[in-house]
Amino acid sequence: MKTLGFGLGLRPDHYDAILSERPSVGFFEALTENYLVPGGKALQYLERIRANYPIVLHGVSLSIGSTEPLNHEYLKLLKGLSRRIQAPWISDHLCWTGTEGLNLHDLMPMPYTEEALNHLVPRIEEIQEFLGERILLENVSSYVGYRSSEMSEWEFLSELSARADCLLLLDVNNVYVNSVNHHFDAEVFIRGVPRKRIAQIHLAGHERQDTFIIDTHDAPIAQAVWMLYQSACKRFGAVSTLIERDANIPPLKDMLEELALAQTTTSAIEAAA
Amino acid sequence: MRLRELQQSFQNRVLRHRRGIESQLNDAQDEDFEPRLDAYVGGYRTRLIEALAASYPVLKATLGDDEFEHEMRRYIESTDSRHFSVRHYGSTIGERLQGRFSTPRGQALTELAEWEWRLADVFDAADDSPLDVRELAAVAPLLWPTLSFSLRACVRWFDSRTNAIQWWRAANGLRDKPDELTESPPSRWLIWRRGVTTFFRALGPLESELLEQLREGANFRLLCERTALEVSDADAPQRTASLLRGWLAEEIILDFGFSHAAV
Repeated sequence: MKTLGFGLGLRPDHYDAILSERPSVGFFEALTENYLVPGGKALQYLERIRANYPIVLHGVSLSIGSTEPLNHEYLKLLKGLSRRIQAPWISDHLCWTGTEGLNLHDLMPMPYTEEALNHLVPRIEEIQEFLGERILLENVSSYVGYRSSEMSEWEFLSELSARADCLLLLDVNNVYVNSVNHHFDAEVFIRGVPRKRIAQIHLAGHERQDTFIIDTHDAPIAQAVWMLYQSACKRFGAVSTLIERDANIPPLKDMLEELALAQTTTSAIEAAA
Repeated sequence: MRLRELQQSFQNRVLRHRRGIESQLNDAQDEDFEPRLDAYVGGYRTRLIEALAASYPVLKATLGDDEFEHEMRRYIESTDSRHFSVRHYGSTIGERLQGRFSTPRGQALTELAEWEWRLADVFDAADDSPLDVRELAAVAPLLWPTLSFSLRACVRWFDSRTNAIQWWRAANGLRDKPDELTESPPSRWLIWRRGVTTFFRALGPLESELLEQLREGANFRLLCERTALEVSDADAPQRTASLLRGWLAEEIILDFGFSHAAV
């Protein structure tokens, strides 16, 4: 997978600044569902920004883990949008978002079981066949775990990506959040996922509660996540890295400053290697 | 519990507050288990309220934060989301408010909600190119009576019986605020988009009827016959053509064809 460098989540708050200032950013990541519309302002901005930058697509409604049949109408729209903007890749989350025709608009966790693997693998294969490309699946933050889980999250991701021949979007913040919420060593997670499958990295902020962490994307990246990112850089090398912010969105220049920190981290590790 | 039942059980907990999933989850006896579960149960409602606030900003400002949240929570408990995009959630808020308030203000709140939803509908309607008036100029005069037109995908109209639109305009700094939300004489509004900007304006009775007939396929001769009910036969073609020029300038006409059909 081609490395696109360092990117930002594309948010409407920044549309005009991106077009007028043409910041030095390797790529943008668009939230798929915001652009699965017949037309209008969002799509027009997407096209204009696409003229200057690669834009990858990142969805929240593929619901790959749901026991509902795949939503083929959604997949057709996704394929059309991806072709339209020539997205270098498409990603979504390793989760389910609803069942019985309903949508919880949340990234619901999967149990790490053989049954879940057997359910997920053919669905991923069908989607990849339909799209004509491998997709990236992201590890999600979770606040509860299933008693039925038979393996660790990183073992599950490894097995899944190998069996379905898909790629992984490693969200380093989510690894850290889950390490606190489910009491494991985040470094073990980083060492446990297959290097060759990691095609993109996400960084984001979170909100600490008394005894657990919620993945809010509403704050700067926490120091502990930066530390874990260093470990990820050492293990995975040059991987396209993106910062997400979905609430309390600061001006573009602040996001660029945070992105520069990610570049500095990577450069320092490359220089030391 | 199999995967399907596990997901149904978890979903029932989130949507219906039905217990059952707890026995399938780790650490259910821990003190922080309920707050963790609430990241899903409460988080679902918080996300939908945020989405509804984005779709209905003036309704929210009118009701105030507390009443808006109260009404939206009632709506959320009775209306599940079935669309992959949260942006599509809440299309029936106006209808639901109608059942909640029987006062003139209630009727206006319903209209205000329906107006905001209609604006959003126009906002991301399909892109298409308006008809260039020069293409029409090339049509031979003899063929003009058979000309029919189609409207762009973004064109909508909205029937109002309250001052909700005036209220909405005041909230957006476009005019003075009425004293109260209440009933007003019936009016019809045209809404459309040029580029990325949404426009709207009130329609008079003749223009309103002509646009409705045009959408149903009436040709220019039929439109002139309708206009002739308002002005003299001799003036009807000129009056109709004048309205047509206005629609072309406003970019609401998509295309033209030739039709002999009666509507």
